[in-house]
Amino acid sequence: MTDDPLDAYVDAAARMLGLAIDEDWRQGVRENLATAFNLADLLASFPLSDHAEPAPRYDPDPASGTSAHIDVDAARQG
Amino acid sequence: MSDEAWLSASELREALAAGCGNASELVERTLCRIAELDPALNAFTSVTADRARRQAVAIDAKRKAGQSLGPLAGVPFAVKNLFDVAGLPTLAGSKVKATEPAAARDAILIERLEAADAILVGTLNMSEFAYEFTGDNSHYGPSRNPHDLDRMSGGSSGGSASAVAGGLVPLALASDTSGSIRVPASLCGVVGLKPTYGRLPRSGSFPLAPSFDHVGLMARSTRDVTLAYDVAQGNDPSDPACMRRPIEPVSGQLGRGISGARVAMAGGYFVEGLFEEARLALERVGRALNVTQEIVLPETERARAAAFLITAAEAAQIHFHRLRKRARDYDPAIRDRLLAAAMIPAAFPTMAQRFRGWYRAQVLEIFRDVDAVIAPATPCAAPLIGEESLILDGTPVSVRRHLGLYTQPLSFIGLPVVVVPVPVGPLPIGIQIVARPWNEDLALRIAHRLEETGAASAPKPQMGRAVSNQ
Repeated sequence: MTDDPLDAYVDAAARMLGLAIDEDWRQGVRENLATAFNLADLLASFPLSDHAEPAPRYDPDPASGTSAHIDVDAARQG
Repeated sequence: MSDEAWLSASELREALAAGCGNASELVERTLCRIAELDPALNAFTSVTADRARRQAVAIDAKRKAGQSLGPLAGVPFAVKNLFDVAGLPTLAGSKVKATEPAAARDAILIERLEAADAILVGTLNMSEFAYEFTGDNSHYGPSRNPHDLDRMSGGSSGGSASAVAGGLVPLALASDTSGSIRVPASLCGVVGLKPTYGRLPRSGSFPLAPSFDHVGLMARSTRDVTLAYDVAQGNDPSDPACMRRPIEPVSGQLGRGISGARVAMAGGYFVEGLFEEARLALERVGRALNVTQEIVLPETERARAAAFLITAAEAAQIHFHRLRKRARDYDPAIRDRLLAAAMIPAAFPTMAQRFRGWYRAQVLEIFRDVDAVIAPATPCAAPLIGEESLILDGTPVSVRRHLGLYTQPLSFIGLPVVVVPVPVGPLPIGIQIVARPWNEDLALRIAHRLEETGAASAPKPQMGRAVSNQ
């Protein structure tokens, strides 16, 4: 463990997830993780509405032909 | 390079149908060309010679019996090695999957192309698990750019672009999650089609990030890409993302022109970070299409950030069980990325998916007023293999991160895009033609129009000289 929070995070996450990080790989992992956190900061600073739904939709019965996108397509085809 | 190496798929089919030679002879010449040129390009990871010969014999028998030939009759093609080919392990550019059992069945797009009488001649090199943009691969070596063998092919579908640009095959299958068709198409100077998300079935291809994974095509002309696209279309229920849309053939529409189409240039984010050759290509295309309007897609930097986080989370999850046991067997650049991705908090990709819905709504609103948008494909022509940074306006920028700058935000919301090569310098570079969802036909017609005006064309490499210099 180190005093650097990112190093501490890598060590703790690797242990909890059962991932072995060789010393040679640590710097690369660290840089990639730092990039992810920076990009998440950029995204988190955007004022999304509380009602903004995640883009993917779950279709409980894809074979039934009743999902929204299929209805729209059918309507377009007349 | 022989003239035949540069013939289009449609020319090859017409010659065959007219009785000029036969498919078996054509396959032998294609195999010879691969044997001669591929040691320098490193585009192929396996050559399916026996299978190609069998398919050629069957096509020749059909012709002899007076049966009608498919729309891709006699056209050799090859596939990025993340597509299943029966009898071969599906490498997806990796070492860890090389020892897994061979695929029992071909990917559906291979089945469809072969049903149209095309001939599979092999599988193609790619960046490991399709997770980077340079075309490098620590296990199999980098695929090389036919226009300068010291330069990157681009990734991740580097072998696909290298094989098509080098005249080894006229057609290749590829995939695109964040730019993996469009970046190598730009760097190698070929036409690339990434259709709307959900248009073509991915069945039998290895995933990177299912939220964004697309399959598509590369060829040296828009007509060839379109011929194959028409054959590839159609729902397949084994791909849950594939929409049940009717098949909408475009080949017969290419000559319709683009009269009345409202085309705009992408400004803002899409003109920051450009090198001179990319600016010249955009200017040339803007003049050829007489574009006067500029639009700005808002918050595109955040769109790219969101795409990055979702890709990372989904990719890490797919590889999690292997990372625990075999991380050492991954390409070091990909391993470090996946290990880091396995550690990101779950809130990140969920936040990114919420932003994705917002961004899609903004962009679809813009597409009420325009029909197509022209954007750069890559910020620069092909960097040297191994080059880690480029100097832009006096500032070093990371090659790996910069190459996908303009492609990743567009696949993020699944828009259809055609990349066409625009000859403006010694090395190729492409531009993106972006349409609203399901309007591949317009993007392809604009690409075709650019070829007709001479503003776009696939440059022919001096492969003989390039090979002899190796």
